[in-house]
Amino acid sequence: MTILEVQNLNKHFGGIKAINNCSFSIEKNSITGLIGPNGAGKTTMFNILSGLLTPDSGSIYYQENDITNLNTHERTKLGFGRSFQSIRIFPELTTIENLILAFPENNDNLWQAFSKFQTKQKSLHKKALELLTSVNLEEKANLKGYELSYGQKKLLEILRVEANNADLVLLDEPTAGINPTLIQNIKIQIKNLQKAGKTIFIVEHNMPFIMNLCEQIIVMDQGKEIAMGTPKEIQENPQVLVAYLGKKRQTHA
Amino acid sequence: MDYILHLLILITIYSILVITMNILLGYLGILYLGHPAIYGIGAYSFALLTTKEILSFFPALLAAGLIAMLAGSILALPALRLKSHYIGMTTYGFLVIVNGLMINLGDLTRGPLGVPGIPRPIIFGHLISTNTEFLIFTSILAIIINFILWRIMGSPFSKVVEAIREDETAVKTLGKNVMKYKIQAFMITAFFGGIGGALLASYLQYISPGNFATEELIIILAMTIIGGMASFWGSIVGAIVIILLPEPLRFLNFSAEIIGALRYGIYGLLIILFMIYKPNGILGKRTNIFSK
Repeated sequence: MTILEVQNLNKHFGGIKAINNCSFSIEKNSITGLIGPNGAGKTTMFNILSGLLTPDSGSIYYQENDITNLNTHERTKLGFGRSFQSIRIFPELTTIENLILAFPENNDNLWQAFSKFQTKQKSLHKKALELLTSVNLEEKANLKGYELSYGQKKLLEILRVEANNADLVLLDEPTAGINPTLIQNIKIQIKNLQKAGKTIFIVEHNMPFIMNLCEQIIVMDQGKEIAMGTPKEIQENPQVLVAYLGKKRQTHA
Repeated sequence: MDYILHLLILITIYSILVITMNILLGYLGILYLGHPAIYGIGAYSFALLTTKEILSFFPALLAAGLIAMLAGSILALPALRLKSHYIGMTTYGFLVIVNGLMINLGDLTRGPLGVPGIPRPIIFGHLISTNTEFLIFTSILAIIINFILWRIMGSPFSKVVEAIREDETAVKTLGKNVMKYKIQAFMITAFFGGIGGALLASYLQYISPGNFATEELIIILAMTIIGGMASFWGSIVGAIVIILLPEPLRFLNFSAEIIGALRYGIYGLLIILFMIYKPNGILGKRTNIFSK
């Protein structure tokens, strides 16, 4: 079953066609990778999918509903969640506050300031602590966001998407700049998300990571999808090699 | 003795004004420079409603808050569409416009002459006239209002407001309607700021446009920055420090004119020194409002 479908999407920045008539679809509960050389339009695609940019034309369907004109927060309410290429945790909030804020049932309505919010927040606090324990970050619960290491911040960002209870998780380069041990940790988190019935869509440059993790891969180049298939199919696709490495020189026997 | 009471009364009233200022400047993290206009609207509304005998003291106090909140919403609409320094320009422009209206709408506001004869409250038939009584009165009101604000600023609502300061885009992707939180923060600031302005008017018994001009902005800004950005208790500390700071100057034998000018010089200098050496203020958090 298709959870997300992109049809003939276009986005121009001045004369640059960042997204050029791009179409693809993603299966529910799959792990799909989005790869392509630098400047292929991957992050622009993610920004359009999460509603931070409006496409010039084309449509996006989420569970068969047209969501092209919805705001970011409206999409999140439908089930979108995302992490960013550059870390976007809240540095002045503590680790656990970062997580609690992401729960959809967080009691952050203004009027709840006059209810017994402390008791209501207790269960969320416990849930957040469980999430932190699952990645061995529980000792950092009361540290400020800026006190965490780069890798821990990255992990926290993925946890935040998990806490947000998104059905479709967009991860923008989750392993960039992270040591191999933490990468394993992130991999386990992503697998856990899938087990919990989520759909994961990843932009990544780390090829061994993505080839190993994904069931389906979409390759973009110059704003357009140029190939789709299993990791094996993609690795053997001559078009993909050309996009990544340039045209092959004629070899003489 | 009466003079000490005067200072204490000012501290209770300014604690409300600084906390409300801090909600937008510190917690929400926008360059909000229009606060004297907002609480000035509260003060003028209260003064005119009571001196023209349209409303009695307490209904007029509430009305002052509501009118200031309406003005705050009008300011919020254009200001919140903008970013960083442009918000500073817009809110400061608002201050200048409102101050200009106070001076020039002479039929309504009596222009530069100001509004005299603003009443003190009457409670159970007893007129609160002495400074001791008025201090008790403002202390009780300040405790009630500041308790409400303390409750709000310690709630999950305020965490979202702070998260918006840290990273607005990330808050959006977590499914929060960022605009709703911003406007609510504006309305809280304007409503309680308006009531604070009305209390100031009632205490001074006479207000003029000069009470709500750029000089006032410097004082309230110094209190917020020195006390501490995004800090509830810091706001109160800031109000205390800045109100008491010029007092030792009185014991120097300068003429009143020099002391008056010297006060603003000291406030300005303090803002600069704190910005360089302790941008968080005495009790505040690390915010990046002035570096955005």
